[in-house]
Amino acid sequence: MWTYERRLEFPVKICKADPNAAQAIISQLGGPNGELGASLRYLNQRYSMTDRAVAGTLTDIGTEELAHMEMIGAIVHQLTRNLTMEQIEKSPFAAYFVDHTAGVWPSAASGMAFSSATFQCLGDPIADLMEDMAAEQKARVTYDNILRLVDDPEVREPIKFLREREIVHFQRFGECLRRVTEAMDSKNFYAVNPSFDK
Amino acid sequence: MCNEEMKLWNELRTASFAMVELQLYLDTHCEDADAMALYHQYHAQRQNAMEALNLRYGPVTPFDVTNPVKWTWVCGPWPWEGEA
Repeated sequence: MWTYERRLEFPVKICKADPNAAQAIISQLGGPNGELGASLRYLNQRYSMTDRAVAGTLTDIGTEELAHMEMIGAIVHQLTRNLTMEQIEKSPFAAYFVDHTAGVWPSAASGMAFSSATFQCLGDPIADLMEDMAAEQKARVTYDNILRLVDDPEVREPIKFLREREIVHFQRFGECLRRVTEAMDSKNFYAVNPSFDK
Repeated sequence: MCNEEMKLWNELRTASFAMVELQLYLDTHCEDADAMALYHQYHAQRQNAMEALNLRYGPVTPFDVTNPVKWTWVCGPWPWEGEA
């Protein structure tokens, strides 16, 4: 069960509209390495996670990713709410504008719609935790790419915070993977799937 | 899970659901005094159940751990295991 708190995890206050930044950052809402996919990946992997501490970590990180999704939504909203038609016409954001005006819709920067095909729940603790570690690195690189494209410190600060969280999550998932493997046969970690083979 | 703990989780569940239902109604009926009285009644019930669970059986959320030295958030079964 979840409840909502009326606050962002890290403040977002952006004065200057920027359609190009919005076009890039929307990817972290609905793109292949985005926060929505991250949250759904972790929260759905919990059921087949055999270790209760690791299932707790998936709950906590999956919940934090929902807060990150809200931060990305707030950034895109504040970057687009005061756009002029002239700014939109000169930007690649024009294509998004046709379909969504200045609404916040989960898509990749390239325009691809959000899809659960961008993440996996395989139901095997080692395979799933390896995927989670890779996902955190992919999200970190995506934030690095966004930081290459964006100059405004009001946009960069929350993006830098989100980038740091990817590194912390990677570290925690690494510990989870170690916990899970230590509970297995050290001569052959891959002999069984502890989630399926009883 | 002992009977007393199960009773407290049931109280939390029912009071919380009543509050969720009232929240949805109150979102568009902010000044309905009868609904507000019910909201506060269930709020008190929810608080009592939460406090008793946190103190006696373990945290309801990871913001509620009362044990001074041990992280008890990941102890015991998760709700989706069907053991409660």
